[in-house]
Amino acid sequence: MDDLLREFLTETNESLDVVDVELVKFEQEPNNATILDNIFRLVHTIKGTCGFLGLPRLEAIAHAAETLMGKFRDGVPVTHEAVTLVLASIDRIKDILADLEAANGTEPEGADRDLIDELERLSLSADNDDMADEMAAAMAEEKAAEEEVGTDIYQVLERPLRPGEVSLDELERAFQEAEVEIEMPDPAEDAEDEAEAMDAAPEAAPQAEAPVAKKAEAKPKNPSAKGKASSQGVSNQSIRVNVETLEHLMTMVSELVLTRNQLLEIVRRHEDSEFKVPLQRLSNVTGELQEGVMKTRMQPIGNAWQKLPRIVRDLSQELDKPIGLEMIGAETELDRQVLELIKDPLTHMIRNSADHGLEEPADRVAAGKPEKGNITLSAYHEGGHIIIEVKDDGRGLNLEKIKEKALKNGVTTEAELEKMADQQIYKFIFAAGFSTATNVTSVSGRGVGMDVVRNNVELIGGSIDLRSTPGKGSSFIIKIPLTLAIVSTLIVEAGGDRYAIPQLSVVELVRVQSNSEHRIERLKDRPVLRLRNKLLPLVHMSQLLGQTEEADLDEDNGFIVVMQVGSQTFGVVVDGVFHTEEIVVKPMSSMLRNINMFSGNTILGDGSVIMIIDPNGVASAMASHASGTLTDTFEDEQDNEEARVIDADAPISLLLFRAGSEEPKAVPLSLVTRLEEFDVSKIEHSNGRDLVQYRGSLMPLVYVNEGDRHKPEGTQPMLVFSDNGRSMGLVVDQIVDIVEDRMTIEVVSERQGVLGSAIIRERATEVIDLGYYLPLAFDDWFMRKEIDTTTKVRKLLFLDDSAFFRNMLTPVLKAAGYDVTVCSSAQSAYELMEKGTDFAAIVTDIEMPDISGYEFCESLRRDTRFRHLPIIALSAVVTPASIEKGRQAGFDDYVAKFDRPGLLAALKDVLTSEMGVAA
Amino acid sequence: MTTHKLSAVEDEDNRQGSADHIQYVTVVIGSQLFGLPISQVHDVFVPEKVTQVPLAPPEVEGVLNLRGRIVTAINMRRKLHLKPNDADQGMMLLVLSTKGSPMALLLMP
Repeated sequence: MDDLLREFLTETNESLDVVDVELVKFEQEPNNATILDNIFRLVHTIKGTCGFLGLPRLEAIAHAAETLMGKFRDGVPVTHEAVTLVLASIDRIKDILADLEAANGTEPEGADRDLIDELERLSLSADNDDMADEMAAAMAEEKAAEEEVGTDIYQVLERPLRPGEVSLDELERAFQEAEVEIEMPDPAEDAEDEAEAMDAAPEAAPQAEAPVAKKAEAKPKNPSAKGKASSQGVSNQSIRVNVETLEHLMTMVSELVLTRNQLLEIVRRHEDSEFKVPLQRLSNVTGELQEGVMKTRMQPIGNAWQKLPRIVRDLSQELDKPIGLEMIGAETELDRQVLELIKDPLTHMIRNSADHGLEEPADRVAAGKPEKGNITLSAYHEGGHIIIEVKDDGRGLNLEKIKEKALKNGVTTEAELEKMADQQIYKFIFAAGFSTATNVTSVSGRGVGMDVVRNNVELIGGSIDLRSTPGKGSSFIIKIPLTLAIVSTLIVEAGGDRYAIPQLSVVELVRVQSNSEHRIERLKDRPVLRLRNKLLPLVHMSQLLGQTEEADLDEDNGFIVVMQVGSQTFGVVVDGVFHTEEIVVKPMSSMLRNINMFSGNTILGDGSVIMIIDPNGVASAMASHASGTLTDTFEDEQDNEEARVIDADAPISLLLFRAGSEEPKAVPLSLVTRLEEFDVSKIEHSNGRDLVQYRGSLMPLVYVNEGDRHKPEGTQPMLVFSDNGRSMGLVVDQIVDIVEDRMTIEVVSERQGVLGSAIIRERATEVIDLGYYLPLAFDDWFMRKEIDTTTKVRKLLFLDDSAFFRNMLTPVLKAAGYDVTVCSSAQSAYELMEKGTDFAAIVTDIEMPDISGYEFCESLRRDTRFRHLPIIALSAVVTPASIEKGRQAGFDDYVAKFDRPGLLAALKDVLTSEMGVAA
Repeated sequence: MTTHKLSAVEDEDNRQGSADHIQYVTVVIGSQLFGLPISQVHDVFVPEKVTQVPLAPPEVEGVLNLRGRIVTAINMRRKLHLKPNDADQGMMLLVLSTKGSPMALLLMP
């Protein structure tokens, strides 16, 4: 394509975009002369350039539009109709330009009479309203004059302008520009000149043409100058660079990064090498070069937003709703490629907001909102991502309708809907073919929108989230990575192969060992990790890749990569973790592109090809695979409205064993760290005790019954209990089984070491009291070394409806130095407190019948006497939701039931701060 | 077992190929002779390391590094629904340049 033409197309397209924005602004501020001047000048320039290049059709439209704009400049009132028409002509010009480009420089056939006629009509009517009869008379005279001459020339163009020809308006303008006042020249004179001009191509024509040509010539020569002028005051030192050149640079830099990685890999293997220092320098330079080139591809997001004011304006007219668009953060920069890809999703979401989100003006007023609906677009940087938010103050998402549609489309069932949180239900709008719009308008409603939006966003490695408040509005939040090409990843191994996981989605790494504090536990037969009191659903990488079945996993050793995608956090179990590496993302080939799990592949420093895991793919696999059941479990556990007593009644894992007699004994499995079998030769005797060397330290052995002894030969099974780096081995005769059963202690025992008897697996089983045995190993098992030596013994009220927990935790609290009073119900607790006993703190269970822990706390808080009393919640359920609920109920802290050290720490915290305040 | 045979059918002094002569690279897959237009054959070599791609369609053997480009390898025997051949020798990789990304055909006798 001809260079001149190419330049023309680029520039004109840009100018047209600017005209769009300016026109919308102008409509809202019709008295702003600056904007009008801008528009006029731009349209004029376009017209000139078109004329210069011999594009009559384009010139004609531009001209007609310019004339109309000229009328506005003369003071004619601006109407919506007029602006719409001008916008329509701009659109037409754009269309023609597109065709022109495709046809490589030839203007498409056609004459845009419809548009031009309209434009001229408006110009004329403007003329008519504005000017005095003088003008009308003059025109009438002219007409007469023309008829005399015989040529059919009226001020309105009967046919498209031919290049080289000068229209009457042009002449008029020439006159007008010469004079200050807008005066109607002598009509007779005019007619004469006109006749002269029209008959041949005489002096006037070349003269008028010359200034036009000159102007047009000037344009292509000074692109940057023009650019400056029309860039609305943004004075930057900038140059135009061909996009292909930049792309090439980018590719080269990427290859450089790869090669650098290869060199680093090689040097890594050599202990000492004179390559290390220069390579380090090379690495730094490459890194900076990379950053620099990335920057060249950065463009302000305002560029993607340019077309939006116009779209909103058009929508506003079409839907008959006044809509305002607010754009914040237009200068936020992002990668050009990413920019291209989000343009369409943004447009779609704005359309949705305007069409579905915002209510009719009457409804808005009725609801107490301002009549004008508001859509806010904002963009900002946050930690390696750019966040874009589309917010509207409309009616929000209709939960019921979404449910209905979801059921109708068959994407879910009634039962599943019951279990879902509102937030999850909202996400259905991203399903294909989903639209709750009752009517399909030309704007939206066809139901192909949001799924495509999400797809596009995910294609670039981003995520989309949404929030909605019925009646107040909705907001969509898109999070996209700042750059696409080079990504920092973590190299892991699973199933014998290596994979790369993008660092941005990795929260932390956890090493799993069966006897450490991080264990893979099973909740309703699904593996989970208990991490800092949060339960994380787990999945093994090989499962995700379809390589192994769940049953074959070795859960004793491994690494868990904790990942976060949007609001979902989960853990992926891998066999090994290598190192982090910066890799160049290469897109998957077309036949592999649809594999959800991979977002691309790359070549590592050693030349091997590995797949890059797509966090979004993993998240969706998780959502369908594990977390469904997990939510089930949570739902069950959170079901305290029905006052289900969970603790005592729910089945728990119990370890059955025999020690000293035939009757089975039991201990809750969760308290047991490990089951071991030691060769009796390893059992040593020292200081009057039996010990065994275990994992580098001495582990004392404790016998269940007084007088028991270990076997004389062979191996001895024992239960290992660990806490805080110390372990105790409880010697047993035989480990029988691990079962799940309810533990309801029926017959309470007076004997030390036994909590009581329960029916487990239909047999009367003694439940042992660990609280008795543990201190036998170490006196200070339950003591915390840092406990203050305050002589004041603090009174503690401990409230729990389950005898087991009362029995288990009371000795713990006592051993920590508290004077513990125990209650089994909130009622009795109230009574005690009414009686006047002064408690330093209260520890209470949550799940209790009649009055729950929440209610107990709330009612205490209402009482002025107890408003500042430290109250700690104890629960088997520790989820963010329940913790939040606890906070709202007024608890000072929230601890998990089996977390003994946590309880003691919490108490200490809450009491010392109290003391601090008192002091 | 037939070893792998590759040969280009050429016209004597016609390297470019005139309008009525098309040059082919002939290969034998499972005892059947096939031909591929030479203009599309980019590379021929013995593959070293092919990385498997889990969850890929069954005929995809994996991907490999070809001078810095990642190329997908298709197992031709599987694609043509022939019984798999256990033998590891005689494997040959033929890289085609297509409109999109280059593709590699994994050939086994």
